[in-house]
Amino acid sequence: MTQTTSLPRRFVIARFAATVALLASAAACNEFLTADNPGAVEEPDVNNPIYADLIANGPIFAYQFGHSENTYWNAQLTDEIFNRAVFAEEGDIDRRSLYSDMTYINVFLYGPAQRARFLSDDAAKRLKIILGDSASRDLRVARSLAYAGHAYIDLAEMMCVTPIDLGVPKSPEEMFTDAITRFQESITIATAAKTYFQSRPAVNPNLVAAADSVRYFALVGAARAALNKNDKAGAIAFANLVPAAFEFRAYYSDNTTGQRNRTYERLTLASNGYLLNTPFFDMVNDPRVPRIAGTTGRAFTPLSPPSYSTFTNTLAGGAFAPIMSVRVASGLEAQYIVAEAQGPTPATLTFVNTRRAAGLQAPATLAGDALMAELRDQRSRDFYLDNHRLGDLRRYKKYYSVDLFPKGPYPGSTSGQVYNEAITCWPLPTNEITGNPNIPKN
Amino acid sequence: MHRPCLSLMRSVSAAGAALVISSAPLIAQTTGTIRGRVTDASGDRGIPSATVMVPSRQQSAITSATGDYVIANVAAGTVDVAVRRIGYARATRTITVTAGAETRVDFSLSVVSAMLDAVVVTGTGGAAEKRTLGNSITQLDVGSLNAKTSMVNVTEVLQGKSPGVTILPGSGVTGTAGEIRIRGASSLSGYKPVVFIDGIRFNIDDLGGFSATGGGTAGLAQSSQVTSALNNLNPNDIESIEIIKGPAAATLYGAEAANGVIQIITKKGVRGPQSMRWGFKAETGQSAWKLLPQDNLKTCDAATQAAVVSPVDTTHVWPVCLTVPVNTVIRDNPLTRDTLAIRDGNILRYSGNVRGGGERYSFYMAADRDVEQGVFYNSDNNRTSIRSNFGFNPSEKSNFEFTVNWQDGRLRLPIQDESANGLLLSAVRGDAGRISRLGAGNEGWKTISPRTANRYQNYTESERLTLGATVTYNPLKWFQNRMTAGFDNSLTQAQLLFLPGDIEATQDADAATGANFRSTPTRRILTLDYAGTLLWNVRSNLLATTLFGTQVVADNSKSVQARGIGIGAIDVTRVDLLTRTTGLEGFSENNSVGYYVQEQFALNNRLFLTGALRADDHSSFGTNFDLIIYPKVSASYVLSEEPGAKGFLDASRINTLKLRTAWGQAGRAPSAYSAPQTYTVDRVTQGTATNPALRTSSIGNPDLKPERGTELEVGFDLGMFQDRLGAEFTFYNKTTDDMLQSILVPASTGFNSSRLGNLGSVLNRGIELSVFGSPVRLRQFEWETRVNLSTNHNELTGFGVESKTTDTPTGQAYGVVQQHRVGYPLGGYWVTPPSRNANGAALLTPAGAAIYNTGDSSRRYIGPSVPTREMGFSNTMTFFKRFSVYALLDYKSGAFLFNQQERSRCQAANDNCTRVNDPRARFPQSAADSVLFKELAVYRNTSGVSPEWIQSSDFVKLRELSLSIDVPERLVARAGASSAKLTLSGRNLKVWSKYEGVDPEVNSYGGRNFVRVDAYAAPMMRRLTAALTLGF
Repeated sequence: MTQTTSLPRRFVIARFAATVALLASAAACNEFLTADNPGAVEEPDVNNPIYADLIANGPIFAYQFGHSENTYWNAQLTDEIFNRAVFAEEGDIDRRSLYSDMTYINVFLYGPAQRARFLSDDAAKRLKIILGDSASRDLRVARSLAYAGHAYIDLAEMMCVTPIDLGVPKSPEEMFTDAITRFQESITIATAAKTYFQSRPAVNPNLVAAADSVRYFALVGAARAALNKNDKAGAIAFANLVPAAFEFRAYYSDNTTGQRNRTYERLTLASNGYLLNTPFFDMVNDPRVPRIAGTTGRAFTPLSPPSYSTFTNTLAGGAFAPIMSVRVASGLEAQYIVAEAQGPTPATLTFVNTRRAAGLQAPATLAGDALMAELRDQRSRDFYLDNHRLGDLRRYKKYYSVDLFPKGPYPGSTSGQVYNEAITCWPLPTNEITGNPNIPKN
Repeated sequence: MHRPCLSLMRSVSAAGAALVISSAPLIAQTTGTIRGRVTDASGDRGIPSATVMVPSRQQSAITSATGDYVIANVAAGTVDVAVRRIGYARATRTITVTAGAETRVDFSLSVVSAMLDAVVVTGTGGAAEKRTLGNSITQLDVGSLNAKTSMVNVTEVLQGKSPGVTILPGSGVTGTAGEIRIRGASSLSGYKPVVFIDGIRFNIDDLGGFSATGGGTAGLAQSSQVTSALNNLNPNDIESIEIIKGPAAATLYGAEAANGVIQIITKKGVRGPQSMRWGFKAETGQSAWKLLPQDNLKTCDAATQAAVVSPVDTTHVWPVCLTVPVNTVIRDNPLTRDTLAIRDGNILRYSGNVRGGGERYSFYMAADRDVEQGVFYNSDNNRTSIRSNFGFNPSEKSNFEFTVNWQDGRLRLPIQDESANGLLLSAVRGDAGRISRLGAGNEGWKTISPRTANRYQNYTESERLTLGATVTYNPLKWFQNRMTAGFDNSLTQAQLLFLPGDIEATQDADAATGANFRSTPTRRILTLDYAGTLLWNVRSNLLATTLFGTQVVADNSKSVQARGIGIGAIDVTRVDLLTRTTGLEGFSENNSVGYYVQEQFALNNRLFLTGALRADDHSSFGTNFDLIIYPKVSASYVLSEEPGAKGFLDASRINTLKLRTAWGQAGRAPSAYSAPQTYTVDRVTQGTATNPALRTSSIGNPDLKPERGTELEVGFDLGMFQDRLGAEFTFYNKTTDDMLQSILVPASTGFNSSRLGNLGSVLNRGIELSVFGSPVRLRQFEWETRVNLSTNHNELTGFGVESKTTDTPTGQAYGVVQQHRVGYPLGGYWVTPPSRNANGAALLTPAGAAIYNTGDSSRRYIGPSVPTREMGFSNTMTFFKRFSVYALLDYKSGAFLFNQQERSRCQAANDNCTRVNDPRARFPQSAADSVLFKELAVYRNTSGVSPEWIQSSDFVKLRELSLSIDVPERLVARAGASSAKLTLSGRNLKVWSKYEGVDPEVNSYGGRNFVRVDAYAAPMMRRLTAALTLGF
């Protein structure tokens, strides 16, 4: 033990000095404890006006990515592709044996779709704060709202229910209503933007065309949402305002992970998904449903259908490519909406035969349910693999009592597996159920 | 670093320097010299590296290889001279130093067990004798271990030598490192201890090279070949290592120390008269692959013998089968047959050091060069290091120590693990007797041959500079100060290069075109540590010691990566000249400030009561959370020095007994940037353009705080039979609350990510027992032995999330095989057994496949994935004072390992394992054979992992064996040297295990917390070396 001198007074003073020194240094180090992060913008800084364009691009980024993910998995859930893959969850999805614990739901479907929805709503709100009064005629706001509406549609068409911002889960009908609200605001702002652009001393035709494009994008969405609500008059009203030649596209490249088209990656880089055991397998003479020929290692894997810029409109088909675009809304879709909403009319028959011609099919003379069945068939070909099918099948089953979901024994199963006919939509993932206080726990 | 703190540090440094300079003393004019020799109890053998000191004069010396020492210029008068050496009893003599004369003081030290007087510096705030500690601490005498055997890195130094410290090696490829866990995994998000070297925080993370999984540009995930910056340190430069194992002992290290603290103390110089001592060591040897995989089997049935390539090409597919009778089982092992597959890797290690000093200074300088070839032809690990320690004490009140350590490493890794480009995978999946799938000359290899695999180049070049300075200033007897400042700077340059065709095309879309990836990760950790001590003799028998201090750590990591894909001309590989290029940048910053105060009361130098508080703030804490405070209390009672107990203890032959208990808390800070809500910039394609887009990144957690580890330790240190036998026993109970847990955020928030939260708790409980001593001490024979035993009960006690009872470690490649479940160990094995009838026979589908239920509820617990019981048993026998034999047996049990390698060999794609080629199963003739046949379906199941593949990984290894010979002095003197030692060492010489795979220690998923799989990872290699150590 070290021998020391007993100096209690000095000792107390020294202790006091030490305490003061420690407290002083603590106060000085607050800034030191703020770590730099060159990879992120923290919340108070996001509303910086210099970020306005980046904020407006957020919905496009998220929607394009989410759309390509949802396209593939919804295709597998419906009858567009068959995939009895080695990965257990993929086979489960193919059989519609869905459960909340599936990691795929949150990672590939629900998560990307909710991000697209949130970023669109969020962008619209932030841009309104940043832009002030001019937000009412700013095309970036209109476009964000249009993407928001489409993101709501995507969620409504695929999910059984959808909570928003940790809220009470909404039914698809409520979601479609929310979508229409956003589309209507988008249409109003895009129209104002067009007026504003046209009022400028030197009219920029590109800006005017962009305003029209956003407006039509919103109109197609509004028509789609109305149709899914069985509001046929509303659907026709929106759809009739869309020019037949209009197309709105999502763009992809292989520059970064977030820019890649996930459907392309899964169908081209991996060997997932085939036309075997689907109704599309038999559409062998329709250039709109191209596939790899049956003698190669990846036989019957889909090639580019009409919505893809790599579509060749030939029976041989064209491969998907890393750099391509995908049609997500169009005048063609508006025409289909009008036809479905107005029912088996002569105009519908004329439209159906136009589409049959596109598929190298002879004109047909059809009426009533047969005509509507043919309309559904043509629609499935024109919008093959572009994320329309699941919403369509759910709508057909709900409003027309036409169930086109795969049924019965699961092809190739050696253990008696069957399609789960009770399931037609994706359940909420577990983490939403456990982490959302507004979802009752059983 | 922001300005206020920088200025604070500058001010404190300047003040410290001013204090020291102003106190420079006059050197005493009237001095004498103390000279002597320190020997063992027999008086014959000198004890090297013992510290002889004159505490009142702050002078000291370290003994030479022969045990001699000199302390010059000791102020005349009566002084105490003390000598200290780990493993020996401390001795003190009071002498009178006469001016201008030499006083001889020889010491004869006895080996002791319970070393209550040993001084430790870890977890104590300054130097403290072990008797004062209420917690356990392991002190490894690395200098002595180095003299006994060959150890190439710090992981090997720790292996099997400290109870409670578990080394999980992963891979036997040279240059790779094992994981270190102390007292079990205490968190879901990490369990690494923190490491200091001479008080400076030391980076022990991965070197930052590219993972050599062989997946080309896509496969950059972690593999068995984990590296560690810790292993760049040369064990030859280490004097000792101190390990404190949990929150009870590590409270003073605060919010990053809950997983334990390892303090590395490097060799220092010798103060005294002008002197220099030189040492040289040369070592050579070989590492060899002795744990070979099983042979590949092939049953030459009729179909095999008839098989031809195609109706057009009638070449026989299995030509060797044509040379044997039908149904003969043939075998092959391309790994041993093909001379280009593996080799015996040469080892060359050279080191030189000089230590010495003068009256007021001391120095130690060392240079080392290690060159080690791996057993694969594209595997090697070279290391060069230079270390310099310089000490200067201008007065009796002040002392300066400067340390400089520079290391340069160059590591080359082969492809391993679950890659078709890995030689081991290709070998163990090979087809015996088949024509080659890879062209003539490559028979027996399945996916790649050595001729292709050896072209793969994966380099990690690392350069490291660690600088540190410690100033000790004791202006008054009752007021002592120590300040340590320094940094550890690591700079790595990594390259992954493969030319077109070097990588199997099926493994990577870019294989055909080749790629060149370059990366330059850097990391700098700054440490500033101040400790002040106030001593107060409250009464003659009661000493109060107040310790206060602060510790500042700034940890900054950066990396820049350039990736080029598409090599046009094989001679042009510069990244910017390749077809497709991308750049990546990483950045991370963690800053922490901690303050502590500790009060200790020492009564009669026997009873020590200690209480302490540590407060921490950290840059990764949430904005709603400020400081965290960790308390600590401990008690130590040296009962053997209590007069009332002496009679009883003497009768029990107990000469030393210390009872101790400690309770304390420490934490683990969240990872950087987990707290704030952030957005980031991504890229979006718009038409033909790429534009920036803002997107959600991390939802953050403003309430985020560190984990709180709470630990109770109870134990004793015991010495019996005149300290011939010693024991240290500790029971620990450690809980982690507010566990940092990554929780998936509900996506309806718009943040499709996880969020770090403080949820759940983990329990670790166990005992640690070391029994050691010298049972036999004869004149011509000595036997020293040591047994380290430890147990660990690891249990997840709760997730902290309502109704959550199960989670799955990420990164499992074969479905869910391991899970975290409440009430069970973290990362335990949980698999679904096959359906069986009442007699236990497997049920099969009509197609012959085993039937398995699905879902979590059908899983059954198999066992933990890390050992629960460990034992290290070492013995040193010395004959005729010159010949020493040392052996270390390493035993681990209680754990299981997923044997994916053998599972894969039994599946239809390979069909070359013993089970599949067992004639009884293949051609069943009886009911018993039919059972075997059905079991084949279980083993060959591909849809899930059957419990049969989760196998016990209990083992005993002869980890170290060495023979040392001290060359007689007369022979040594002829060479002009003062000492010489010849050491023959072997490592990983023998394994006893029922595990069906090659090596029960491998893990192909070393970089992923908790996931443990044996999937084509190279086993631990046998190493044999011969070393000559010379002293001058």
